[in-house]
Amino acid sequence: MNSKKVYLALTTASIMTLGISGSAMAFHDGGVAKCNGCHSMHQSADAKPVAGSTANSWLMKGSDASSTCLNCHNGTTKGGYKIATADGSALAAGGDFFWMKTSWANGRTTSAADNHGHNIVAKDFGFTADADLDNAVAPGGTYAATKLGCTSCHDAHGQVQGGTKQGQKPIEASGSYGAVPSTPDTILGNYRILGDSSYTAGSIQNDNFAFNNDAPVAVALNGSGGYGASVAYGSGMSEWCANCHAGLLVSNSSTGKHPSGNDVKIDGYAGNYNSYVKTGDFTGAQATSYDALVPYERGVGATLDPASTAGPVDGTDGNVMCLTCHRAHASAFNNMARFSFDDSLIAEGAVFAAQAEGDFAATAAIYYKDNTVVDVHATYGEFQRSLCNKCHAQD
Amino acid sequence: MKTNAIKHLRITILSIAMLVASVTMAKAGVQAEYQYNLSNFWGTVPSLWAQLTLDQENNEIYALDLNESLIKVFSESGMELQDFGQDYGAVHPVSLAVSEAGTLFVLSTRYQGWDLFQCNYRGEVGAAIIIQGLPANFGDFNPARVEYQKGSLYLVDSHSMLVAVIDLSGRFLRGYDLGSMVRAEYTKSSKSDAAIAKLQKQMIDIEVGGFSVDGAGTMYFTVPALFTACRLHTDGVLESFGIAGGGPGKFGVVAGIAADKRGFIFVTDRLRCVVLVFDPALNFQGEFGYRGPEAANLLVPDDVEIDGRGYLYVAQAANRGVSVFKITGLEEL
Repeated sequence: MNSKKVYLALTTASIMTLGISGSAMAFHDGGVAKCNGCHSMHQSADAKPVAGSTANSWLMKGSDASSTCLNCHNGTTKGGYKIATADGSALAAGGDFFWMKTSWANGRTTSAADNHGHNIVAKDFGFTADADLDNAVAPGGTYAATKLGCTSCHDAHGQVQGGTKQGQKPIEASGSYGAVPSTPDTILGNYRILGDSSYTAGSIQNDNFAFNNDAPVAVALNGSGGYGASVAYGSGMSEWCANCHAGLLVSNSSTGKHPSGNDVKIDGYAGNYNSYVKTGDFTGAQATSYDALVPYERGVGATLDPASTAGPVDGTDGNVMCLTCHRAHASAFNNMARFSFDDSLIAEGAVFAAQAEGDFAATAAIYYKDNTVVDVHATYGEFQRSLCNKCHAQD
Repeated sequence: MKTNAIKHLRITILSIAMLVASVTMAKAGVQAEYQYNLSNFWGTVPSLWAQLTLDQENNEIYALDLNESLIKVFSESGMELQDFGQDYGAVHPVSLAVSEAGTLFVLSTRYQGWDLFQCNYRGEVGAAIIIQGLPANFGDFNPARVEYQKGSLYLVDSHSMLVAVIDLSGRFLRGYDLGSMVRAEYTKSSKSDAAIAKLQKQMIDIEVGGFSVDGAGTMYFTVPALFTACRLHTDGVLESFGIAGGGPGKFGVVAGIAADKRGFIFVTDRLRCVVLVFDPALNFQGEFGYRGPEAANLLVPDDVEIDGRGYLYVAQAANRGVSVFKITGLEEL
């Protein structure tokens, strides 16, 4: 029989601080954060095991890696760095993991939670692996669904090309916001501390799933505009997604898949993109044609300004990427789409009826861009067709 | 016979051990004894970060499940009495408060707005409360939390860090810009404009974590991103406390905050999975909980309430529901 221990909280001298010390606003700071932000050296008291996972020998402050991340990144409502909310109100460009726990239906349209995004496993916060056996591994790949978590994509230690141990220079600042290293012999971190070609991904960062492609180049708006609510994409996003979804990265549609990637230039579609404002309105101009609901990559070496409203220049820059149509984390729509693929008239989409019926909160952000919820009716009109038409103009 | 005696002795020892195990010694004199989880006849009622509201008069506790938009009412012994909200349709409550008379005030949010309305004890929707007289700097006021004290409602917009105090007819009484206060507190020791600017930049997206109001109108709130808890007196004096860290008495990701009638403050820490106890002089007294599988452990604690009997209610993640602890020994300090 095991005797149970009394949990003793050690108290030292009284701790009273007049004035405020410390800030978490630069927790990751482009690289590895303070260790005790995510790890507990002695499990807080008396070396007790972490709940829920006998395999968790990484001393994380969560039952798994994703739960550790969500200790900070989960919130009740939108705000800053919150990418999982209780009401779906997050406006982060990547999307809100709220949708991974929220199914909705209206009429003949059903939208299962499992199909809304990346099915991260975070035991403490009720996120579970994809139950669809067809998604036992990544579509177009081999990554196991049961191992999917935040650290499958994001390097929690923020290393670039293996870190300083592999001869890299120290990281000066985040690589997410367009900073330029100001200190000699330093570098910036990867965008969103995404894993690169030296990264072995995994839900516990040790599944030996080696990435082949480097982190993408992008710049997010920082600060009061929301962390990452507005993003200017540069290059490499589709190639990076192909670390797990290699079978879906194609350069032409002869394979039966929509092409994407650095070499899939917008080219002949730039004219459509720049002139298309909404269904029936082709009065747009290149200087103001950018639509963050249908983003594209501006190209290698391009100047990336998350506030830019300019569209592509035909033949010289701009390529379609995975995130042109999908959100990285999750969305309200099937297949983690940025906009509904299932409605002919998106302003009258089934999702709005489901919301009106209370399937989920009125504060849930369904369509949104640049840190703002989009009123589809007001912005695009009652008869707006799919936003695929931003490029293809088939409406 | 001897075998039975040994068996009985083992059982006795085990019972004592279990009793001791349920008592988490925070500091000599301060004790937190796990009681139970809020339950119904089928066992613990699961929830993820329920919003808690205490009916001080009846020692009943309301737990609002944000994911289900369901409000459950529990008795003073932790048993579910009733629930409501499932027939509210498109109205999604995000917070509620209860008056001495038992009137409920439910705050709900909607697309581009929010509503505040009264309910009776059965949860039947009554009159809406229309706020009047909001000053200009409350133009984008979007509260997601409501508290009640002595005839006033405290509406809290966590993102703008604004608090509007209104009477029960909706008339604006006074407001607080917690963000400005906190920023001033944070930069007061800075020695240069450049240093202040740097700190201000770090604080662009700070927000209120937990919030509560005691019987005297003193407000308590946490600012997780600054590893800080604050106490705002009715005369406008702001006190802050907390040190970032992983050790006892230090703040990881602070969340909920509540004060008992003597002014002892209870702060939950999601990251460290503890409840920290501070005395009215803001001295750390101890902590309890900790991550673990035992009943007395906590898993990502969030909202917290304490009633007049010293029963502390702590909402958790992982569908652990709401744990209840009996706090004793504070009067000996």
